[in-house]
Amino acid sequence: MNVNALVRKLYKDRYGYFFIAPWYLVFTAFLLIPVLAAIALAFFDTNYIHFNWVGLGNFQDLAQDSGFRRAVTNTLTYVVVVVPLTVVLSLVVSLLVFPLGQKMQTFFRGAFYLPAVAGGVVLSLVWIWIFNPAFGLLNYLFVQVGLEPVLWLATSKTALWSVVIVVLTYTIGQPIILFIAGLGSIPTEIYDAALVDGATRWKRTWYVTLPLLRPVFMFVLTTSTIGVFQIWETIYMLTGGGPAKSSTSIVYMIYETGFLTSRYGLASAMGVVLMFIVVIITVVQLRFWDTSFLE
Amino acid sequence: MKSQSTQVQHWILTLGLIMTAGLILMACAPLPAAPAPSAPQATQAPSAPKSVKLTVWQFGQEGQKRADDNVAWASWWKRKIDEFSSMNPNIQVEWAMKGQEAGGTTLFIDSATAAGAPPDIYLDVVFREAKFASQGLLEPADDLLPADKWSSFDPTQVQTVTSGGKHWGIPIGAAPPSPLAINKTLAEASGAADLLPKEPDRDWTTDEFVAFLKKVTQAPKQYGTFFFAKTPSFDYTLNGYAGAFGASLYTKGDYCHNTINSPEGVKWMEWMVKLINDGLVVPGAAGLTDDDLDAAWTNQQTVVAGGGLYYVNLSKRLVSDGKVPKLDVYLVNYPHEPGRKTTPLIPNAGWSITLFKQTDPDRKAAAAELIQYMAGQSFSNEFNKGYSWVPADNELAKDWAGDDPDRKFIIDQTTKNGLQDMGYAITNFNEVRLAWAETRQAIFSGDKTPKDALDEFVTKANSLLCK
Repeated sequence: MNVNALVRKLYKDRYGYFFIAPWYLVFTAFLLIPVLAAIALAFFDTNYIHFNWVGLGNFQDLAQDSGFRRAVTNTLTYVVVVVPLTVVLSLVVSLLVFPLGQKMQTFFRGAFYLPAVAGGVVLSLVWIWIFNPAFGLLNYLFVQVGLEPVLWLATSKTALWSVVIVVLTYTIGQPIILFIAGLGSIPTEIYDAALVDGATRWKRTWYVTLPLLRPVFMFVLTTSTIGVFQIWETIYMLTGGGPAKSSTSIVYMIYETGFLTSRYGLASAMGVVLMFIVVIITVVQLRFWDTSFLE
Repeated sequence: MKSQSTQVQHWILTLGLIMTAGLILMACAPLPAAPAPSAPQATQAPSAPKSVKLTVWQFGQEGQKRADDNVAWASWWKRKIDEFSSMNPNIQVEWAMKGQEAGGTTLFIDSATAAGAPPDIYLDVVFREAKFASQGLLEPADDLLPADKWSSFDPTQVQTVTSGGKHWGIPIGAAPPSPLAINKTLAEASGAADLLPKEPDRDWTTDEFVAFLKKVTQAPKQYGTFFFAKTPSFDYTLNGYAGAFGASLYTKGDYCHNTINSPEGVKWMEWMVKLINDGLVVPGAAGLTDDDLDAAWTNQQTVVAGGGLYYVNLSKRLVSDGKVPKLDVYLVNYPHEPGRKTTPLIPNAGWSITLFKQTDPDRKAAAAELIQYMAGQSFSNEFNKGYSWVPADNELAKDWAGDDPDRKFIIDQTTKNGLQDMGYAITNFNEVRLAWAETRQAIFSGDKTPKDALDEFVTKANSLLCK
C-alpha cells in the first residue's frame, strides 16, 4: 500500500479513529507509558530522588537473592495449586447448580460471587479471625472434634496453604458465573441427540458439555493464571509474606522492596521478571490449547 | 446543503477533538518542578516575608483525635493556625494529616517528592524523617532556631535529629519510655498478686517473671504475655527484653554495626522461644501483630504487655466505655537475669519538625517564622498533650509527670537506670526494622534457630547500615 492509499484509507476511516482515540490516549498515558517507564526503571538504582544507572545490576541482584527465588517458587506454587483448583471447583459447582431451578440458581450464583465482590482485603480480615491460633473459629472446631490446634499463619508449613484457602474463596466466584452462562449456551438438541444415542449422564458431560465449554475454560484458565500471579493483598493481610518468606509472592516482594525500602529500581526489575513469566506461561497456554474458537 | 446526519457527525467530531485535546493536555501537563537541593542559607531569616502559602503535613490519619481532650487534630490546628496568622497575616498555612493509610511507609511523601510537591514543613517520627535527611531533601535546621533554644532541648532527642554534627530536624517531643504493663485485675483474680514486683522500683528477675507468667496462664482462655512478629510495628516493646540479658542492638552508639547476635542476644532469643514453647505466650506469635495484642488486651486474654502508658490509657478508655468492668494496670520494669542490674526502660522514638528544601528565600523565611512558632513552648506544650508525650523542651518536660503515679514511676526509673538504645538515629531504620521483623518471625515460628537467624540478620543489617 502506497502512502497516498494509506492516507486515503485513514481519511475514509477518520471517524472510527476519532472515536477510539480517547481510549487509546488514556491507555497510552496511564498504562503504556507507565509500563515502559517501569521497564526503564529496572535499569536504575533509584529512590525516585536520585537515579543511578546500573544496567543489569538489579537483575544480577535478583538472581543472587534467595528471598526472591523463594518468592518465584511460591508464586509458581500458588499458580499451580490455585488455578487448577479454581477451574475444577468452579466447574463442579456450576454443574451442580445449573440443573437447579431459576431461583436456586440465582441464589447460588449470588452466594458464590459475593466473596469476589467483597474482595481479598475484607475476606482476609474475616479469615484472620478464623485462623487465630488461640481464639479463632477453625481451631475451636478442631478442638471440638479432638484435633490439635494448628498455628495456621504462624508456621512456614501452613502459612502458604492458609493463603491458598483464602484465595480460593474469592477466585471461584467469577468462573462459576461464566461456566453457568456457558452451560446455558449449549443447545439442548445436542443433549437430546446424545440421549437418543444412549449416552449416560457421565458420557453426556464428558463428550458434550466439557468440549463445548472449551472457550470458557480457556478464558477462565488464562484470567485465573494472570490473577493468581498478581496475588498480593491476601498475603499482605494474612501473613506479611512470612514466616521466613514461606508465603511471600513476587508482587508482595515488589511492594516490600518498592514501598517499604524505597528501592524502586529493584522492585521494577522484579516486575519485569514477573511480566516475562506471565507472558511465557500465557503463550504456552494459548499454544497448547486449541484456540480456533477465537477466530 | 449538508444533511442532518452530517451535521451530527461534525458535532461529534468536534466534541471528540475537544476531549482528545483535553486528554493530551492532561497527560502532557508539566509537573511542578522538584525543589532542587540548595546550599544552606544565611542564618538570619528575612523579617518581612511577602504573602506566602505554606503546606504543613503531620503523620497520622485524617479525622484523628487528640488523646487529651478527644478534639480532632484538625480543629486544634485551625485554632493554632488562626493564632499564627493573626501575628503573621502574610503567611497562610494549609495543614493536613497524612501517611497512616500508607501502612507506616513513607509512600505518601515519596510520591509527593517525586512529583515535585513535598510539603514545606513535615512532622513525623525521626526514623522516618531521617530517610529524607539522608537524601538531602531537608533544609539544615541549625539556623532555624537561636542557639539558646537548641540548648533547651533534651539532648537524647536532639541526638536523633543530628547527622554529621548538623541538625536536620527540630525535636518536639516523644512518647514516654515504656515499661511493661500488667493487667493487675487479672493477676489478682489468678492469685498472682503476691508475685508482682514490689514498690518502689517494681524490679524483678527473669525467674520471678516466668513464675508469674506460669501462675497467670490459664490456656486457652488466658496467657501470661503476648509476642508478635508479623509486622515491624511496636517491635521495640519486645526488644526491651534484650536488656534483661545484657544484649543490645548497637554497642556504644556505633550505628554502623548491629551486635544482636552476641552470646547475650542469642540467650535472649532462646529465652523468648522457651516462653513460647512452654505455652506462656499467646500461640502463633510469628503470625500476630501489635493490633492483635490490643485485641488480646481488650478481651482480657493476656496479662502482660509491652507498651506502658499506652495500655494504661487504653484500659481507662475500655472501662469508661463500659467494655470492661474493671481493669487496673500496674507498670513494672522489664525483668533481668539474676545477678544483673535493673533493665533500663525502652525509649520511644521522638518526633521532629523538618523543613523540606526551599528555593524561594521569602518562602524559607516564612517557614522559619512558622517553625519558630511551633517550637515555642505554648505550641509545643499543647501539641505534646495531644499525644500524652514528653516535650523535647526540658522546662516543659519537668512538669510532664505532675501527680500521675504512672508517669512519676516512668520518670523515676528513667532517671535511675537510663534507657536502652534502640538505634532510632540510624538513617535507614525502616529497612533494618523490616529485616528484624522477618528474623523474629523465623525464630518464633521455629524455622531458624536463634543463633542462625541472628547471624543472618546481623549480616543483612550491617550491609544496610552506613551504606
